[in-house]
Amino acid sequence: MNCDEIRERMAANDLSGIERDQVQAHLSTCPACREIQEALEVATRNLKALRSLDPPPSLRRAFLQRVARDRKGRTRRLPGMLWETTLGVIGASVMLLLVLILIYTHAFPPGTPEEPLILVQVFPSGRVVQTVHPPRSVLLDERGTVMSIHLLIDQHGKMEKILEMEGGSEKLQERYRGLLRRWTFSVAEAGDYILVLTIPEPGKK
Amino acid sequence: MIVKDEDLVYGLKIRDPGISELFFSRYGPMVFRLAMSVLGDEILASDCAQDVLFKVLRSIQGFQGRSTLKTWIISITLNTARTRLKREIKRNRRSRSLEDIDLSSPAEGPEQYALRMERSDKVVRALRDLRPEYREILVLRETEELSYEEIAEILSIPIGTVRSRLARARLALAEQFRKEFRNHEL
Repeated sequence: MNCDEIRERMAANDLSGIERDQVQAHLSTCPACREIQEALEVATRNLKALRSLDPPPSLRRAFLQRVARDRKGRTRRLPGMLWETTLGVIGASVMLLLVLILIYTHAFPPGTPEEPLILVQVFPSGRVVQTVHPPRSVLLDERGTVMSIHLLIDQHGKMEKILEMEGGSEKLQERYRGLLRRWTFSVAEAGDYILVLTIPEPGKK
Repeated sequence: MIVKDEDLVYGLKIRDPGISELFFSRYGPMVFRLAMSVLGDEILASDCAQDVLFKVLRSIQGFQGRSTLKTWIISITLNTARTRLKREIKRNRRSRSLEDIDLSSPAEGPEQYALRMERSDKVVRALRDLRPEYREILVLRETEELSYEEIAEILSIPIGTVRSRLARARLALAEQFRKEFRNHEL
């Protein structure tokens, strides 16, 4: 193999055993190809390091604000018929919310320490169920840590076991291990669920 | 990842209020990196990434699951970034200054953020001097670690072309780094 062939084979990155020996033998006598080999390694390492390139924080903020604005815009544009349906749904939701607040107050009397912050949704695989405890509103523009927790819930809506936790610091995860034991979930049946939480930054609650 | 993409898609389709956060956490950084590799400019990439993520939300009802959510988002990102690049080349406005970068990350101080950007800047600069099709394929393979099959699907090219283009792209990038070694030696 000549230098061009050696370089092509090295760049293809799929050398067989025999080819590897041939390339090694060539590299030991050819400084120019050795330089290319080093440059290939540096290039690959640098491309992999690009994974740590996170977007600027302003991107997340701008995106969530744009989503929130879009939602508001869409609500305003609802046609008459849909408005009636929407108002009906809102009425029913308010009634439901009142019931939930009653249940919540019963389950979490005032002064309960470590009140959960924001609960977003519980996802069983393939469908989405609205949670009832705690009945907190979702703040779309809120900055925070997203945590997802895979957990087993029993027939009484109580957490049986945490299977996996993702996101958040160890301290935060520990705090939520304690909180989850106190929460009650509204689920149709016992089983494993995925809980997604957005925890606002301190001072943003 | 414990929330499956199919749950994410479902949540996006029913416009679940909390799902945008999770969607951003999972795909925002990838979309930004890809946009950055095509456009080579943080401000343009950030703007482009915002458009892409919003476009995905708006068109999710049409997502049939014929490809994975990831490859679908990558295709949208590359198309949007390419169009943007053409427009920017026409405008001949490819500048970037550190003053324009938002340094208000809550998780890290401005200095750490600037340092991390500087490290990534070297490879982004080297990529900027390559042909656009080389930049894309290198980032898809080496940074996003996609398989040859996934790359072939996204770029609509045969697998053999993926292999040969990738090899040429690696050599072209290595050449950029080799030039840099030599400049440092001088």
